[in-house]
Amino acid sequence: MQVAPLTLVFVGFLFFPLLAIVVVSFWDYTAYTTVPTFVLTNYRDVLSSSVTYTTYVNTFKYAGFTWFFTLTIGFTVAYFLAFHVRTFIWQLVLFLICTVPFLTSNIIRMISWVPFLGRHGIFNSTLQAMGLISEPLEFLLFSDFAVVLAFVHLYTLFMAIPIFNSMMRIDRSLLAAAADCGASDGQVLRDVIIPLSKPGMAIGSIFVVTLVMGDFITVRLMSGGQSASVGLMMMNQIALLQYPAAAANAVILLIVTLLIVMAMVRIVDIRKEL
Amino acid sequence: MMDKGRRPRSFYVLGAFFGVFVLFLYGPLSAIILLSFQGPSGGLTFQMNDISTHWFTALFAQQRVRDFWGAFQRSLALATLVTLLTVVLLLLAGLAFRRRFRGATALFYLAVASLIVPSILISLGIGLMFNILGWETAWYSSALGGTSHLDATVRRAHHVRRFQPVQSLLRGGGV
Repeated sequence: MQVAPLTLVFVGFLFFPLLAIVVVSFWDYTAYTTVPTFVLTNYRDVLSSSVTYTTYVNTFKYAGFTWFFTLTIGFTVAYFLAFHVRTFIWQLVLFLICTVPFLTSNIIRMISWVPFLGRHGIFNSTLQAMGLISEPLEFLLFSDFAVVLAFVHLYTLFMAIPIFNSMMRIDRSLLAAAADCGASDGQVLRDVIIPLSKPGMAIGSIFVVTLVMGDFITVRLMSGGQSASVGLMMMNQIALLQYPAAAANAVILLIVTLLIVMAMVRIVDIRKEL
Repeated sequence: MMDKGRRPRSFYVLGAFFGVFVLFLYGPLSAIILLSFQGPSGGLTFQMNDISTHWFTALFAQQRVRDFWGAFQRSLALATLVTLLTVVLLLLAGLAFRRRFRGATALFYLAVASLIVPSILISLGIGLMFNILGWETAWYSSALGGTSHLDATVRRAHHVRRFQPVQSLLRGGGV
């Protein structure tokens, strides 16, 4: 009985919406109306269009780069906090410092890169003042670089927190034992810490990859409308009221995302973390 | 900080890395705060033409296209509702998950699924569902379902299972 409300919420706001997407993806549409029938044209349109493939390649590229950088940075930060900061209080303080920027909205944190990266932004003017470049660097803002930078900025903490959790569960006597057996710091890191924090890395990776795969606003803002992602493609279709097309796209995105997640779960067993 | 023994050099390297990371987090944010005091002729780039509160006055002034207080009140109301609902629902669920019950595994996987499904799909789905059923979409109905339950709620559902209900309540705010 106690779970009934939660179950209702899940059924009402997770299960049925997904069902609605699947149903609508088989509907037909014209310029003004949506017709409830059963057609496969939406899927045929999506799968036969070269735009779909370039968009997916683009999205995978974003997801891959973002995953790599968030994992590297997140792991290093978590490692520092878990093994080099010695008291709980300091760990907490440093973690809070990292968390505070996450209390503001995503969009504000994205926009705040604009004064940094723009043609006359801080970065360009600093480099010019130092005499390193004569012309402002154009690729900084409204480019793939800017998109990945924003993603890394937004999502590194989602990676760092699960990894930190995993690391805090590693029995400290294991590290001492390894060191006693003559393992160097590097060996301890490679053979003890990294294998044991894999579940955290997997959970963080799932968060980051699914967030990037479904994103549209970051890509739109930071690329200046010059590159597309799957989410953005769907948003454009929604704006044109082509709901069935967007739904077919959504079903494919859902399948792709689930496949990625399943692959990750295959590699690393995360169940003991849940 | 308590100091037991000398710190290895790696501590300082990693500490420096952490410092750069914090700068990376705060740098853009502090720039935007500074720029908000820009003079009337300035824009979103770093030439502080003047220091003023011009843009703040403009923000609070009632305008035809942009109604700051209306938007703010809606956000606040939505946030309050969502917080209340999540606390109540998750407290109940947390209590229930203390022992096994029928459908526990299914519900748990549903919770995990809600974390994995990209949020744009949920929004699209809820929009479509309301459309099909002929319900009116509004911030207090569809948006409530969308924003709250599937994003923040479930991440807390996680905690509930992991750390027992009472503790998770104490953890409260932070996702």
